[in-house]
Amino acid sequence: MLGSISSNVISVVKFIACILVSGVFLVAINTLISLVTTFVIPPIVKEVFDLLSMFLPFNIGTIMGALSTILSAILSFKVARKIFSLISWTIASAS
Amino acid sequence: MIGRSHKLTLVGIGAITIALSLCISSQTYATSHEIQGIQWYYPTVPLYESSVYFSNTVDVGVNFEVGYSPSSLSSQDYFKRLDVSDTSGKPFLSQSVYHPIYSDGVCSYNSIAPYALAPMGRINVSYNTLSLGFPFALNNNSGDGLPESGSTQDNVLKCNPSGLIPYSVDTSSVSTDLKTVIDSFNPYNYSSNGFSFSRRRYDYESGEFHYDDTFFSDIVGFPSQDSFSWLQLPLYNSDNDSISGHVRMFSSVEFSGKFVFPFRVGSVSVNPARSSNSSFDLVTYIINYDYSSSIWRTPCTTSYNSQDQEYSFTCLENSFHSQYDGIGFRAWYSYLDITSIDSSNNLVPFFLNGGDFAFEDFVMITDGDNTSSHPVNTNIRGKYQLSDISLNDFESGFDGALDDHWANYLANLFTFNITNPFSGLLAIFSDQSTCASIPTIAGMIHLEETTVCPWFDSQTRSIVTGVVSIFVPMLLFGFVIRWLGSSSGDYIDKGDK
Repeated sequence: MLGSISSNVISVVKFIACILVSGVFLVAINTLISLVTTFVIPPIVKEVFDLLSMFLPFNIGTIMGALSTILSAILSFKVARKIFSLISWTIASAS
Repeated sequence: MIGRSHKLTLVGIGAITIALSLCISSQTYATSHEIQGIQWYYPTVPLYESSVYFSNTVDVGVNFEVGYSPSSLSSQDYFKRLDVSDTSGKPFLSQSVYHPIYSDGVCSYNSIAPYALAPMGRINVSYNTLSLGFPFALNNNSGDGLPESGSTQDNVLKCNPSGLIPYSVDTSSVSTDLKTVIDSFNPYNYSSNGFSFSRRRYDYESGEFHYDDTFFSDIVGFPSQDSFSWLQLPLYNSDNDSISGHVRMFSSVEFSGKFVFPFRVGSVSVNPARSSNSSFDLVTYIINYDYSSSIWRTPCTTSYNSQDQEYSFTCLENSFHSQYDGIGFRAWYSYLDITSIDSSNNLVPFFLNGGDFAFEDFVMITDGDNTSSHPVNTNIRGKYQLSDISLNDFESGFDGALDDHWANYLANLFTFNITNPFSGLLAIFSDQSTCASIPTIAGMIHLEETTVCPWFDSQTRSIVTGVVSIFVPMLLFGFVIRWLGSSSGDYIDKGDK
């Protein structure tokens, strides 16, 4: 019983740590994508999207922003899972 | 096949994807918009309340950059040659000017040269690879056109703006040859305060030039010695034209090469009620001509305020950033009996963003009936609204500003703002009906309008944008994850094993 509780506590701590780490990576990756976008995509691309958005019922720029955000989210999710597995391996080895 | 746990994991990932898709970050996009470029602040030529007299000016100029390494310097590099000729090829300005433009490494140098044009005159500016010329850079601080003794370092080894654009022209220090050239070109020369250009006006009907010194007698004025100024381009006015009661004024300038080609025109209001002539007319055309596309552009507008019974014209576009090999500028003006001027004094100088110069302005109101001139407000520094580089940078030799420029450039590589990943959550619910600016595209296709506004109403766009912003990433990345999961077997749960 006690072992089950401690295991649950460890799992909760692991989840919290995973969420925090993934949040940090989310911000970091999102920032990196922003930087890369700044240097790679010329400003005229934004103007083209704005021009296309003129006669579309939605904003293409917002959608492209969503894509980049989801990309960063997936990457941070993968990083978090990797860290989670590493923590599990470390705890398992220690015990 | 994907097992139940995998499906649950996929559902979880999908849920996370949906949640995070709300975190749409449009900032990613906004930052790409911040590209170095030349930005022009639209200035207004100050025209001051004057009793009955009117002065209208146009400034034109070239802007370019030169740079060279210290090892390539030689004495002749310091001398800039200027050749100005009229349409017949007759030179009326030819002057070599001492012009220290060297700094450590590459000195980014921008010069906006104002030209006073005679009607139908053509200014041809020639320069070699290391030098450039402009007509009124006759003196540096010392007023002799040569580097000051004992301060070689300051003059040579720095981009000293006081040596760059010394507009303080004193005919006493102008070389005899130049004075001769000017005088020969200008039969109605007035040189008590410098020199002016001839009041030649072009009669379209007869196709001839007429010399006229009755109206704009002394337009071209020169500022105090320590100021940087635009010289004012006189455009010619006549109320005694024999043909139609008014005469069209014409000035043109043509350059070859790639230039930033700025010009500016004042915002002028006139009140016909105060005019002594009942038939009032004000027509203004400011036209940019793009030789590569053969398109004329007309950035100036003329309006009439019926309440105040005032005509006014405003030119909002003051520069033409040429990407082509040739650019021309022509202006026609037509006035008749302009008797009063309401002007704004909110002078804003030309200023190159990332570049480098601002200029004080100078206006000389002329008396149409009196040959005396009235220099107005030659010291207007306090009214400048420089954002990055102040006039102190000019006075301090500008080298500090240049250093700051490069330092900022390097610093920007390592300075960035962390984008908020949740800012998209707000962006998705923000107003999607805002108009967007497309200056680059508008410039390419020569659109007058640089702002595009959505066709759909705000509600539709807000709803559809939110829906599409969620489902497009869901579908796209859902398929990607599905593809990854199927190709690697138990990819999703691999980390747990």
